[in-house]
Amino acid sequence: MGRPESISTEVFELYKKVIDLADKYDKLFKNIESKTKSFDDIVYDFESFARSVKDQLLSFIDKTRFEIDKSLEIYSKEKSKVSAFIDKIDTITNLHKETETFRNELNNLRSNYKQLTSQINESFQKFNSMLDSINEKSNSYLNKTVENLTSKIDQEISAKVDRDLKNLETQILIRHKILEGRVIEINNLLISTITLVEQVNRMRNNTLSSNNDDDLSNQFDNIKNLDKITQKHINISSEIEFKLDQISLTVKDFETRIVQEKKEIKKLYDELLEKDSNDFNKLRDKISNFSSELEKLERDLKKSKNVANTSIFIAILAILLSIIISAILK
Amino acid sequence: MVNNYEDNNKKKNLIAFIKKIKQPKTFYSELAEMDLLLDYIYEYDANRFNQDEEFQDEVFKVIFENSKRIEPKLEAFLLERLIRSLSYFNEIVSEWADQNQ
Repeated sequence: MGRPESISTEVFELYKKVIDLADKYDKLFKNIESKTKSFDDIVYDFESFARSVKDQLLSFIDKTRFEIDKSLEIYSKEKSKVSAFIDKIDTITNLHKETETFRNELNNLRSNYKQLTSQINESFQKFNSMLDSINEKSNSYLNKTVENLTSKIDQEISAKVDRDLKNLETQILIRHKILEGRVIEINNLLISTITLVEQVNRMRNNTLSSNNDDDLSNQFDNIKNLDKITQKHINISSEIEFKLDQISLTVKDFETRIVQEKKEIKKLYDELLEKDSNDFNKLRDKISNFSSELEKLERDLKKSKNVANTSIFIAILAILLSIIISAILK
Repeated sequence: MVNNYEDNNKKKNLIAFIKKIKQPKTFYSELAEMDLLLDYIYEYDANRFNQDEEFQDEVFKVIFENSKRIEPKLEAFLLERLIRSLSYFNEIVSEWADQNQ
């Protein structure tokens, strides 16, 4: 653009210079603007980076806080465990102290125990000697008492059994003899009746008359009755024999039991001799039990005797009744 | 950036040239050719010229385009405007310089 005619060259040059400077300033400002823009971009990038870093840091802080909380919890738990462990250690130390004191006491007790054991050994030897003497005395006393008891029991049992057996045998023999006498009488009667029957038969054959038939029939009836009585008598005698056999069997059983008891007494006596003096009381109890068993056996024997007596009584009653019935029939 | 700025300047000059060619000569331009425009304005429209800045600009523009000899009032006006704009620029730049120091 050329200079206009309305202004001077100085003004025009001044304006030109100013315009050039303005252009330069404009370029500079634009350059600055572009740089500031780039700076702004960089700042924005930095801000975004800072924001992301901040977010990452926040997340990291949250994570670390969570982990710290966790670790704090674990720490508190471990702390409680450690405190419990320390308490246990305290208790263990106390126990250790107590064990030390206890050990000292035990050492004292051991020394005392040694002294006491020596004293006890001495006293035990004395006691053993005492026990030996007591054992000897008790054994001798036991031997004597057992011998006395066995002899007394044997004597009493044998005396009682002999007496009872003799009584029974004598009673049975007496009754048997009475029965034999009765049987002989009945046999004689039978023989006489048989002879009478034979005579009557002869007379009957001779006369052939039927006038005296009624008398004969009566005589036959009497004979039949006599047969019945003899049958009953035989039955009763067989029953008595059976009862006597039973009584003899029971007596034999009793004798065998007595023999067994004697053997047991001998065994016990041997055991008594073998055992120590400490078992003396036990043996005494056994002997008391055995004596009670013996009493029971005596009672049983008495009962069996009573049973035998009742059976004999029943047999005698039956015999008496048969005799009475036969007498009534006559 | 710089290329865009140059293109804009060319466009403005072109528009000014086209306006100059097409527009017919006005009464003010004829007066300016005769160096009588300022006298005419002082005589007939002095209040508006003193109060209305746009009108003042338009008058000095017509003088600048059409006058055939150096007009000292126009130069004073232009220098005044240059000082005003430079002082404004200086003021802004000084603020910026103070901020960046």
